[in-house]
Amino acid sequence: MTYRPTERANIDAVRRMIALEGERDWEGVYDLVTEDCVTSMGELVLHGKAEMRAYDAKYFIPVFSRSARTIFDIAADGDAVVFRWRADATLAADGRAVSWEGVSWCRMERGRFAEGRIYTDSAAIQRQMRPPKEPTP
Amino acid sequence: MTNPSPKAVVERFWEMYNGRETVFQTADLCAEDCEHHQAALFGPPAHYVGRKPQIERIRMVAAAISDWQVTPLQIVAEGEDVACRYAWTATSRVPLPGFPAGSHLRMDASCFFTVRGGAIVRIHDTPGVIGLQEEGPP
Repeated sequence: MTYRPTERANIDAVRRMIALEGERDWEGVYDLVTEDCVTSMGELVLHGKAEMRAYDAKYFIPVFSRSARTIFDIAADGDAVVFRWRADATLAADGRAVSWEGVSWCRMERGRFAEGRIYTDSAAIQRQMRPPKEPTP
Repeated sequence: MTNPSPKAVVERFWEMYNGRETVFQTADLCAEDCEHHQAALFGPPAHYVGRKPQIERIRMVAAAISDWQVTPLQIVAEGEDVACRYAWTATSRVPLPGFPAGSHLRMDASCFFTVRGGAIVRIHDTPGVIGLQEEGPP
């Protein structure tokens, strides 16, 4: 790989964010995001860091007692970074393990995330989060 | 003759993919032992190696959909790695989970390619959420 220094810095920022997520250092994660960052996942679009915080506080942080993403592929070009990942998490409610895969396309500004598009099968996540069926007698 | 760039190979792949006849020739852009990873989409995830299963897969997909079109939205290429974000549209020939036959489908998705020596050696496709074209982009 022959990345320019800014592309290398952007890749480093992705790896740093993934590490901070695994440590559940959410403030560290938000420090890597611009104030007006736009994040989209399917129909869900979050405008700005405040909406991202609110979403995470309601739908992510309390739902999973542990979560970690593993990067499988990563490429950078100019201000764009794209990476393919798998998330492995533990549901806080009942301790079940869940996992899902996705691809994130990011636009970076001065080493911080300014825009992110996440491609993942959100229906698969929802299916895994449903309570297991009671065994029939 | 020099090998075309990995990005050019991927662009050619999508051009051929969009043709009803040339879609089968996409296999010619792939190495004999090209690895294909397809995340779950209307069925379980698929992993296969080589051109023959690739062509069989294309036949299976072509039996289920028509009028398919892939429009690359963004390509990021570095070295032998090429990532592509694309919009996919098609019409279902048969009922698919959540969609009756005749649905005009749309999906934004991502694909990672590895291109070595002018041939694609790995394709890792990650679909997004499928919706109806009349509902607009997700």
